[in-house]
Amino acid sequence: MSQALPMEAVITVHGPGQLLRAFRKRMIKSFAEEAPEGRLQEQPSDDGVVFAYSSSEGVPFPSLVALSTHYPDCVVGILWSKASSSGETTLQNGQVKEASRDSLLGGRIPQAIELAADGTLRLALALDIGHDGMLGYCATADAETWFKLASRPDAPELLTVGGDGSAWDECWRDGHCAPVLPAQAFSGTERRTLESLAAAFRAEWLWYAHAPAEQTIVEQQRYAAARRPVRPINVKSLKLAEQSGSRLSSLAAEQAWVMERLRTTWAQDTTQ
Amino acid sequence: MRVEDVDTPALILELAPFERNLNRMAAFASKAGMRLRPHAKMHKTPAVARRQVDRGAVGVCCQKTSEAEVLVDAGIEDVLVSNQVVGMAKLKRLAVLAQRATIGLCVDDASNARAVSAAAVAAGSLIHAYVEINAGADRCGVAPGAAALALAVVVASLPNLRFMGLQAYHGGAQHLRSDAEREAAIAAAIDRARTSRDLIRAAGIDCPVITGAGTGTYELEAASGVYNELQPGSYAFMDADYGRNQASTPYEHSLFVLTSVMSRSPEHAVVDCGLKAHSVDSGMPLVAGDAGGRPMPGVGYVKASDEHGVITSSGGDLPALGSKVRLIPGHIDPTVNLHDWIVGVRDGMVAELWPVTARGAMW
Repeated sequence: MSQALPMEAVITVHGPGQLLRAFRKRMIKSFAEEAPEGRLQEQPSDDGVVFAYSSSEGVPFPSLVALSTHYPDCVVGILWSKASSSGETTLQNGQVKEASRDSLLGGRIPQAIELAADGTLRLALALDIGHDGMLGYCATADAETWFKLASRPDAPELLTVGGDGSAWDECWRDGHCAPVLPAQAFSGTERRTLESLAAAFRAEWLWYAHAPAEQTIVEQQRYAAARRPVRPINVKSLKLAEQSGSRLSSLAAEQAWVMERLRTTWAQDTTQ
Repeated sequence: MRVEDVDTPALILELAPFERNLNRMAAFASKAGMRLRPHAKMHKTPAVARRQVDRGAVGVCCQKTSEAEVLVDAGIEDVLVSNQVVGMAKLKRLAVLAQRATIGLCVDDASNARAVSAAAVAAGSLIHAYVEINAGADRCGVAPGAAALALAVVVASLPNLRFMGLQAYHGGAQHLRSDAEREAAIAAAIDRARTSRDLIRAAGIDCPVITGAGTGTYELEAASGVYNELQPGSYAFMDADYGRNQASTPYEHSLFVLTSVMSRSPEHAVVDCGLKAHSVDSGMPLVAGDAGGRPMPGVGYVKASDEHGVITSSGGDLPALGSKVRLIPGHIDPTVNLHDWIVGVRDGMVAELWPVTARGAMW
């Protein structure tokens, strides 16, 4: 089962010394009880109490708000980062004092999305830049795949996965697809990277028409209310509501060619 | 038929002021950029709900599952049960109803939210869930802030529930008499709603709707920058208790109980309208006038028993035996619930006859 990339956060608490110590103690206990899947690590600091936290479930806000209510003189800062977005929240006395969020694609992973006027997904990708090339996840409204290519625009080959999902078995060159014979199995590192990359992107952006009804009923209703066409792969309604324009990208200038390469090869071939 | 010929006791609705009331509130909501979701617990009458929706309301509120059934059966497509629904018997009915209309409800307990979710999963329907916060009435609702956030996290995670936002209705504030009292009460409610909304949003949960407000305070919630949906009910008919609030209201009394003098003495008149025809929980009804609405100065309704009401006069003429009198009910909601029909009147003539279809719908 693939795992989403975790949310990472830095939680900083400032306040009077005695209260700070009590806050720290209760926070460690509270996180252990209420967010046992998370990883909480205290960081050395001369200024307040600082924790690094990571969890696929996100920051346990209710616990922090409850603690903030109990210690109204303490100020809690939460600097969080997900694959696709990041932001900062300040709590005091159980209330949000400040909250901000970066742009829709302000997270750690280079990503790009293109939408049709009706919200249909034309092409989306998420990248992992390595020393010897790029691994990625991409999707259209009809299909999705992993891909692999060298980190330069003149790289001739684009590898994708077309069979049972266990190996690189398609090679795109000059706009044409040929089978890879024999298929190249993923390395263990490749598989873990691709699984987490895809899971993070899907969790943030996508919903699937074929998923169980209890998972899609909200999106089905939102799409029906907005008269959007439901395709096999769809962008979450709240993302559509937040974004303006048909293109979003956090790709660096030297990575922009990857989108074009996918658009003219794999995406063109899979779009129905 | 002339209004004087309607047999009594009967609910008489003057259609002209009723329609002006509907138009005023619709215009206010539109100008303020607010969603209007009038409360149908007051009128329990699909014909009234239809006229509210036709004027731009996004749907209606009600308080009971069986009221929601009546409204959906009558073609109202979006109904919020602005109340907790507890027990599988009711939840099953509501979940089935959500197969053919947009249905919402309020939750203030995680175990209840899970039960709602289970019922919706079993019916294959989607239920809109609002976390109700205690806005100051100290009745239903979780505490604002951390408790509201904790419940929103649970609701947002449950299958076949869509977390819609917060129900933050302060019922007790509606009948506070002075403007200052109402403003203070609603300022506190707004603060509670804002605090809860901000925490929920900071936790990454979409919180699109903050709903509440009644006829006594809706302008305050609308100006808050926090609420975006209004739930007034009484404005359509009004009643004697709302009339006692110290503020000029643009809303007119449009609903009356028509009653007949069945006994007469030199000291008082007895009418055929007692506790079974109107509610006295908010005080005695006011005498609005004779059958045609002509004022009867100095005449008051002073005492109610099951079938009788006693009318006395402090100077004016008491009504004659057999004559008819219009009363403004003390409290409109429970009064309407006592009647089968609303008789719509225009220019002194009966123009509409609407069944109070959800009368007695208490489940």
